[in-house]
Amino acid sequence: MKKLKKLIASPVTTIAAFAVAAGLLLFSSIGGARAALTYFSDDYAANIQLHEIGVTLVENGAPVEGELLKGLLAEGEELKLGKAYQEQLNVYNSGVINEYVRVSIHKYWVDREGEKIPSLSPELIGLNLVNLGTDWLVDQEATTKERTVLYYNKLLASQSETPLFADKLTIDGSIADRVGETRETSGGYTTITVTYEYDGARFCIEAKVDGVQEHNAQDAIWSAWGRRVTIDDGVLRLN
Amino acid sequence: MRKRLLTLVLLAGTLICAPAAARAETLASERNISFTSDNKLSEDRSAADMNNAVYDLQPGDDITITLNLKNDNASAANWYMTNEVLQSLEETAGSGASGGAYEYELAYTDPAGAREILFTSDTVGGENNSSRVGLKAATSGLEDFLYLDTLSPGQRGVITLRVALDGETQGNDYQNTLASLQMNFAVDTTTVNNQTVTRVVDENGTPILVDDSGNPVEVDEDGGSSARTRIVRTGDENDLLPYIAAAGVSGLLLLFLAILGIKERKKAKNAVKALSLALALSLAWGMSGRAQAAEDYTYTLRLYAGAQGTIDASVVQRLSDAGATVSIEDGEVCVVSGLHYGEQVVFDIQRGVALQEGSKYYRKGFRVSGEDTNSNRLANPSVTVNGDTDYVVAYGIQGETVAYTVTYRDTEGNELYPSAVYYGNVGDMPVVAYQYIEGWQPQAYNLGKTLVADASQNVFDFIYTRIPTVVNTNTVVVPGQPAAPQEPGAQEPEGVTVVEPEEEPEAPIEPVGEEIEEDETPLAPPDDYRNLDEEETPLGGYDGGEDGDDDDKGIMTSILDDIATPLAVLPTPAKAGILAVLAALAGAGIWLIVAARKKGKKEDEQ
Amino acid sequence: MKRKKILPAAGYAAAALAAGLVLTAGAGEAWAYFTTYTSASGGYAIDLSNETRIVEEYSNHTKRLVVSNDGTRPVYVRARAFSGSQCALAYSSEDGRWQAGNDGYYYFSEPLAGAVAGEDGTVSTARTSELLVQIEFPADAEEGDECNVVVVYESIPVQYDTDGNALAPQAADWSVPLASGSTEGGND
Repeated sequence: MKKLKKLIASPVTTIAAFAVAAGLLLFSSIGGARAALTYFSDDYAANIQLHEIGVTLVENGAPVEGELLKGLLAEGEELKLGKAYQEQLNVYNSGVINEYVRVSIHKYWVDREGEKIPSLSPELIGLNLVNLGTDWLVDQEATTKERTVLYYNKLLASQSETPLFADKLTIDGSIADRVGETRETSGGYTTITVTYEYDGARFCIEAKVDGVQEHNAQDAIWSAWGRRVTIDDGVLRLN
Repeated sequence: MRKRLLTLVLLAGTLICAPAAARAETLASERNISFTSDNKLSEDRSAADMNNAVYDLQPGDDITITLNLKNDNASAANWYMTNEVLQSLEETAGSGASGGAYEYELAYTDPAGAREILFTSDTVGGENNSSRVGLKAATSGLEDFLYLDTLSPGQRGVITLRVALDGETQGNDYQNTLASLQMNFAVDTTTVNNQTVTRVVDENGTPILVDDSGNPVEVDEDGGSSARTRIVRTGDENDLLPYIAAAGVSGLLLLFLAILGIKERKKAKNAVKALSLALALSLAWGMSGRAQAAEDYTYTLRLYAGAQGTIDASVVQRLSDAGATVSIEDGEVCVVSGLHYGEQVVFDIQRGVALQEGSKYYRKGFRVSGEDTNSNRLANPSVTVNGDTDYVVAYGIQGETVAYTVTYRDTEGNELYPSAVYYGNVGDMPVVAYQYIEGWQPQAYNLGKTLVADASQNVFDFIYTRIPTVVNTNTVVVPGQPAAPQEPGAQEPEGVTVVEPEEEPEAPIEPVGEEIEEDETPLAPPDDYRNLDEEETPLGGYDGGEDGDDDDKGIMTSILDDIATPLAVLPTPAKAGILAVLAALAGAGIWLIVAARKKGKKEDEQ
Repeated sequence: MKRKKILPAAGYAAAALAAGLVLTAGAGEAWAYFTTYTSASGGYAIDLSNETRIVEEYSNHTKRLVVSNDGTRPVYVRARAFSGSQCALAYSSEDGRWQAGNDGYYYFSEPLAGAVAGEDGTVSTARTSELLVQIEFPADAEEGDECNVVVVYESIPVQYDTDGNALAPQAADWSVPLASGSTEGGND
């Protein structure tokens, strides 16, 4: 099977297969003989090709595959409240065509069962956004405490990447502020158990990158993302 | 045949060519063809140059090909042409593209400047089950030589072909597809064409195509119009059909093999992407259950009308959160804000989204903004709030329209709410939302089903069950007045919660709480989504067996069924072709086995 | 979904045949324009639980306070005693690891590490050194006079600066934690 695969994957086979395929397909398209007309032209062919679009999220220089923050802590390392961890995020155009991109960042807390806890503050999950205004535009209409939507204001060429949109992640030390407490005294011992609202909660950062084709991008963004933007000479502005 | 070879090579080369970084959204190409004094049809450039161009298009783009025809011969010449789509985008092997629409216009401008449209349609393709796929629907009447004009010496005529890819309906499935169109011309100086061409215009000045008798040519089944009567019968019918079919099928197989080769090479690159998609999917949390009540934090849902319609507040059919607000911004977006986690919003885009006047589109549903690649169906119209989310209305182009009915009944079949009738395309899978009916709950908030041509089968039944009513009975004794005498046994302890069916007062009153679990099954909450196709169509051959073997058999049978159905509709020559290919494959297989055995024997002998 | 499983087994021939039959496929889903998306998410659970145990011994007009951390996370510890105006309090620690803050509290100068379970199953718990609070009765105090002394202890999870270095206990944000204390008297 491996040999077969290798054979199939070889460019020579591909080209040969294409040529023969095209020949056979063309032969199959011959409808009838041409007896009555005298002079015939060449074939005037027009080939239309549609290419692939692709987008990849890049975290600390490496493409991310579904899971974010994987390398934030070393094994066994505890998360340090207040520490600014390196979390460099940007976008890479992994497709064949140029594209416009946007990023939606969601920050929230979930409980042990993975259920969202809307009462805990997303603002304490500090993802430091950078290059705002110069490269990335914040969509104020879409911004909530939980969500930030950034539009890259330039065309992103195929196989190239954007400047960073985030560089650091800090979990605010004040999540340790909100406490309840139980104490138990027996003899000379007093045991104090402190409970925190955020204890056991899991913070989540979700980054979703959308890409849209270069041609007719203004209409395509309107149609696919719903958002009205203006694209002038490759520069995107939010309406 | 030699000339055709050029086209083959080009067709073969299209996928290998590096894409040009074209920014233009309207492409144009112009060529000159003349009938020379030495009775040849010649071009201003070599055929290779002419056909070398591969136009990189994206949905929404269009291309115009102009061919200038000139008679440089000493005698008048009758010009004829054919126009054929060798391959439509949908036919790219390995591609799942379908349902996209095209605009296609072929026109001839005579020496006097009069423009005659040979074919025009802005809805070629689309969602239909026509045997001619996509672009091919446009050229059904153009594939045999049709008479264009008689050009006197020195006269010029112009052929223009414009093809536009509809952006709204050509989505991600159309990536990595390719199409090939072809035009051929022929000239005849010896035969006198007796046909008279009558130009008829309607009151708006738009040309109407007429036949020789002056009767208007009707719009054909593919939505375009063409002058079929002008086709020149150029030859005899041949009996090569079976071979042609066989060649066609073999060609497709080889084309598939070639694409497979490309894919194999790309696999390593794509594996990363596939994995990320799978992971992304797995990250879609199962957050259907209701979480604890949020303190203050509220969410916003936005439904954008997209490029083809406008939206109004009636799009919100139901809002379970009394504190939420609905606002409409410029008819472009409906913003529902102040929503608490776990609350429900039901959108009705059929009611709340208006299409632009004369639109060729219809409202198909809505989807999560930006999501497409992995969306195998539309978003549920009944949305359970679990975050800030944006949606965009999705549009399709009408094909074979069929009605579908949504009913709202109780388990006895009594109508609880008037049925609604909508229209969609055969093959579509609309998702419909329930109606909120006080005291009742449906089996699911959203139902999905694939539409079939028989409208009587396109019924979405919401079946409602009565929700048990919870009544808290507290006995309050007013001070100074003796409590009403109560019969022994009828006395209820203070604060007991009872279930009381509303319309059946004679039914015995049952205490709720722990006991209810023993006496009656509590009503399970409705599903978020239910696919009626899965409920109604069990897999072919599935015999209800639980073990894996039986299950696999069911799947195999169903696959065979899937293949058998389209096989059955193929014309006989095509079947013959497929059989021939299968026979060839079987032969090759046998040959390989024999060869392998021989080799084995040889090695044994050594 | 199930059908996908079977495809590789069916082999290339069947796949090729199926591909050929795409021609006859009916209407399918169509979506607008070329778009793509990718998403990734992740996060970590926050472990803030801490359980501190305080041992107080009283003798010779002196309270001896030791705090141990039974939780798994390192904590800061601070303590302070309150008395009426008639008694003065004097703080001391033998190893000097309890240091006076500007706010009247005495801070244990280093983070108190979390409990660690050993391979043999024993749990080793970190403890502070002793903080001595000496109650000084007024000179005119008589036998039998009482002085109420309330000791307040607090512990909070260790906090870090943006570079990840632990803050000095005095520099940490102690703004919200609930005070916990004990009431014990001294008699003369």
